[in-house]
Amino acid sequence: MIPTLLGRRASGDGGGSAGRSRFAFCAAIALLGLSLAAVGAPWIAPHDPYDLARIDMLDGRLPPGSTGASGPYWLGTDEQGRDLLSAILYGLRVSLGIGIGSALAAAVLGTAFGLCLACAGPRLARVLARAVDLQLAVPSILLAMMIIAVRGKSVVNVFFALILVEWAYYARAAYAAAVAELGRPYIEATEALGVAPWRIVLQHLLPNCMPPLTVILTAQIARAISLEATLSFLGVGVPITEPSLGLLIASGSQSFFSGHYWMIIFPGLFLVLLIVSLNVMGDEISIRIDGSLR
Amino acid sequence: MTVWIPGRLVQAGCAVIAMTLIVFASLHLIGNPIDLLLPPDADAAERARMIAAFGLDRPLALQYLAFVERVLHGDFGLSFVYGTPAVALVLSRLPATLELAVLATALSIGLGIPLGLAAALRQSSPVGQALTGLSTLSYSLPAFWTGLLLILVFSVVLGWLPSTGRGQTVAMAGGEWSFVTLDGLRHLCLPVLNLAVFKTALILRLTKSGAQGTLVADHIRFARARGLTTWRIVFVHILRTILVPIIAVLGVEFGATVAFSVVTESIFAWPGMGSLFVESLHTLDRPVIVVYLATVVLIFIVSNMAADVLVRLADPRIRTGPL
Repeated sequence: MIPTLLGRRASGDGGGSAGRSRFAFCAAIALLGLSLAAVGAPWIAPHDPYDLARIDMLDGRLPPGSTGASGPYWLGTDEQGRDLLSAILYGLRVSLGIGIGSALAAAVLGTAFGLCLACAGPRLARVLARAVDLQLAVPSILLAMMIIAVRGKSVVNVFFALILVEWAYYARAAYAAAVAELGRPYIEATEALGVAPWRIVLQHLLPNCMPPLTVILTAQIARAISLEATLSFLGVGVPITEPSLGLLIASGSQSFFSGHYWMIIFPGLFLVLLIVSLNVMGDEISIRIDGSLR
Repeated sequence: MTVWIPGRLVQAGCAVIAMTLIVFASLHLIGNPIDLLLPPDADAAERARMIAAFGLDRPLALQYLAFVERVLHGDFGLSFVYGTPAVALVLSRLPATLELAVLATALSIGLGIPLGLAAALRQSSPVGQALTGLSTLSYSLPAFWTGLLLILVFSVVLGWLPSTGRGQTVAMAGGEWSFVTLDGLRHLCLPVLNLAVFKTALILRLTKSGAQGTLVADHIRFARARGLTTWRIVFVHILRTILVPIIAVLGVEFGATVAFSVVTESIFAWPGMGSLFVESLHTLDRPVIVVYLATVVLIFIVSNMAADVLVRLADPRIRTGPL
């Protein structure tokens, strides 16, 4: 039986492919739902978690499903009596906003740097590529923690730290893709036609470097959200006035030894759902791109 | 090999020099030590005297040379909080972090490679798909959340394992170690598991994709034609081919494991150098921050070099190649 397994084609065709696509479809739906929930948080959240006048301390630490002074709390409340579901929806906004924003900014900066590097002479490129490698060698979490320790806790600084951590991945990928593309005949042809160098880079080189960069972008949004949550959990992330999902889990973890499990479980489930669906989408995109190039 | 190792040492030396430059620059970014050390009622003359005493009025290049000289003597200054030399403080916490990182790496190799092979050999069966799905999930789980869940399940609800501290330790080889006592091992279980989750998923994915690529290679077809047993094909021919990239990634990842133990140590109150680093960030204990970062970068360089040596031993094609 096992020899037939060994002989089977390894490209993942047959039953696995359909299952994988279904999985990716679910991930896309989940991602869409979470994004809509994040954007629409002010309208769909049952309570306003930041309106101090509407929060009743007597409703603190209510388990999921209980009803308090200002209506039912589907997912329970935190120590201050805030509705957990509403806090999660608002937290989703912060997490997703920081994740997508920093990944996009890093993508633009890193890709620009990588393309410039590929167009510069090989000697300069080798020196600068070493610098990029050196930056990639420093563990991302330490770099981000250092930056926030230096500049202080704020959403802008978390943003700044994440961009600084991530740009090098795009730079390396864009450089590798651009060097491969530059050797192809169509670039030579456009040069011979007398097209301006900046037009060659923007209209011909950049679009052909996009496939690997899209895969990295999806993976990096997931990484950025995870890293932001970790930083906020450790107390070196977003300030308490704009709690992300990570900060919600951090404040929930202070009282969960007494059995208030819902304060860490529910924000965590939303966080994991967000990161898992992004990673599944990333895998799917990379498999499809590989397939279309073959 | 004999030509190659000195070359690598020169490269490592360059990395260390670059690192001291970065550390020195970040030292200046974190803030002026004078503001921290000077009493608030000091006048301008006293301030100027102190700046001169620290050598801060000299050109930055000379300050850097003075910094390098002190570092070469192992002098990173005293911890602001503990008042003891920062190097000794960080080194005293090193064994706790190392035993965590080494055991987590060992566990992830022991679990990740067999599971990855199983996932590749049975990729269309429910078992293979479950393994693949599970690896995507564990790859995505934020470590701090899995840590909290482990405590919730095994300490709060079931009450099987302790969730804080190192337990009983034994002094050995210049440090305190937990893994030699039963109580210490019980305390190690949850933190090691927590740190190993991501790494196991990573190795599983690497092994699976490597084995899938190798399964269709010619030498596997010929091995089957020669009538070799499946066990021999899997554990000798496939494993040897995919071992090289796994070793290389492990070398890079060991430094990251040490760095990410910051999270695990904070959750499980593990008294390693990671939790010391988080404390120092909150108290802005600059010398300790600098020594911690230098130590992690050194561990990173050493593990990378060790992996390079192992890769060369495992793959004869690289041994004779250019540097």
